[in-house]
Amino acid sequence: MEKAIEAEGLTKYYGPLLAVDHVSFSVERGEIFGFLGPNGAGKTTTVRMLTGLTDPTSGTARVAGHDVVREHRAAKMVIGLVPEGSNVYAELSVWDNVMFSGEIHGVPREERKRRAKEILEMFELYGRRKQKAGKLSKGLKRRLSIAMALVHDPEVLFLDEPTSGLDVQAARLVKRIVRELNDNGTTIFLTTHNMDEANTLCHRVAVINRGRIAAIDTPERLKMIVEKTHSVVVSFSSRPSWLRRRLEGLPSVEGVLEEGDKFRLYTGDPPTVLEAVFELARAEGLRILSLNTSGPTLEDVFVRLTGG
Amino acid sequence: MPVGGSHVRLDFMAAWAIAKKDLKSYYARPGAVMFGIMFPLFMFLSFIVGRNIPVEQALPGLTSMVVMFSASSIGPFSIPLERRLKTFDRLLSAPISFHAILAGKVFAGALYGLAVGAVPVAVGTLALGAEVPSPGLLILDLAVSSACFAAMGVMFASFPTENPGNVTIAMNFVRLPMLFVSGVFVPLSGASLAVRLASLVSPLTYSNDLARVSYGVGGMMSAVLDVAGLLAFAAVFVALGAVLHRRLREWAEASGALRPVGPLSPPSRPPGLKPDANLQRRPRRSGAGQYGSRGAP
Repeated sequence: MEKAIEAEGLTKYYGPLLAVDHVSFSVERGEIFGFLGPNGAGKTTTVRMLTGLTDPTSGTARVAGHDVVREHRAAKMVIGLVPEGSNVYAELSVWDNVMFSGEIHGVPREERKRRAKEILEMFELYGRRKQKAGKLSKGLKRRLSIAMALVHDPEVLFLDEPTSGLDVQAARLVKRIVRELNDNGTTIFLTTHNMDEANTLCHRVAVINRGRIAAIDTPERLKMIVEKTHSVVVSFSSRPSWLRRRLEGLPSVEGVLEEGDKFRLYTGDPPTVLEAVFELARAEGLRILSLNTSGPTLEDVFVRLTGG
Repeated sequence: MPVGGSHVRLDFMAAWAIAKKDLKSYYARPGAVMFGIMFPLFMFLSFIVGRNIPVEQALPGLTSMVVMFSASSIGPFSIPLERRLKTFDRLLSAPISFHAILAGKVFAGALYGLAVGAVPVAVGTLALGAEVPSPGLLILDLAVSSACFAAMGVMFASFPTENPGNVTIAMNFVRLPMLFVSGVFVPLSGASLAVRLASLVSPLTYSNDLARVSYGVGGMMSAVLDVAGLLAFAAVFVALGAVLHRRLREWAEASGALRPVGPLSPPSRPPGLKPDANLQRRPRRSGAGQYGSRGAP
């Protein structure tokens, strides 16, 4: 069975600048595939090449078996694209936005109406179908933007930063929708900055840096790259000015990061650090409010791979 | 095959959908109303008020000028705005040809020009009692002129900007001189040879001339030649527009004007984490830019 996405040596130059450098990877059907990278790493350019918005300088890409350059119509027929931001037509109603998207994808009128109703109900937007899209909240616009990309029932959905700028409830709903779509067989290509999102949603993740793929694997296997780096997260009842310096001086602590009212102590030996933290708290009369140990996060992997 | 039939049919349906969408979205926007309706109307009034010109003599110029400004205002307004709002990507990601997108924009401008152009005709005939001896020719004039000027607007909208004002300003450098060499205000019969030669390369000349024939006030050329001239200009604008849109988009991406990449701001590395020796960034090549360069060794 052919892959959902296959990229072979995808390369893109913008004038003299090499934005994407011989990127090769494949995405299985039914996968949620995360595409991570710092700003300017080549994520958006890669997505634009995969969706036929820009031609690669060299290399090939196939979506559901269709070459995105030579068979661009067939490829675009199976692609749904949700670009970053809420690119809906503000002057059109919610209903007209979805119908328009169906029309330019060649969905027959009756089928379009049926799909539009079905999708708007799924996205809890049917009650607002007569409302101008410009009057919707940011979260609702994002939902509408995704709904517009689904009206032609694409096999592969490209989502660019789907939860960026959304509040917690809206972001959770979008993530739930992504899971449901995937459960129904849609392959999801997810571009994100949000490590938690990638960690909890994606079956596999690729990290792109400076136009090249730095790693591709499952989130858990990627974390093994930085397996030796564990951390102890502790918060105290008070934060005297000397506290950070004392924590940095504890045995086996390789680094300290302040995270709100907590300190994250990086270490390869969590038991030793735990003992030292208890001893410090006892000696200085500090009360420990919370104490946790954690393994490496996807963010640690990302930072390691991208050399941040 | 597309969901709904052949590629040609899908392109046509998509172009029509884009036109309907553009008309719903942009016809009442201040920019379109200002440059499409108010500007030509007041410009015409500034030339006509206080001068004793019969309504039949004034109407052809007013009609052709209104059609030109209104039909050519939709493309330069909608395309840069769609680039800014990223909705243009939605069109580009659809399984339709680029020509279908441009055709939709031309349809929208042409329909807008037709509707707005009908206003001076209606006012002139119904309120001011002007006679139209060749109504069929006038309808043909409105239709062909609208299509021609809509195509001109879409061609100008190839200018790679996200600001509609930039395109409108650039286009006014062409539209305004056209008013003075096309016989809109002063009949070409009394113009100098230089103006009459210049009038041949202005589509407004053919539109105005056809309107004069329709209103029965005498044209410089035959109606057939006027229609042929307008169609020829429309064909050139469409062909040139398609090439320019593609070339300038590529140029804009290459030069960074419309490049879809943001500033580099990778997250900071937590203390204690050192880059893995096996997974460090690619060594920067000597003399290369941020991502290396094509010509670097």
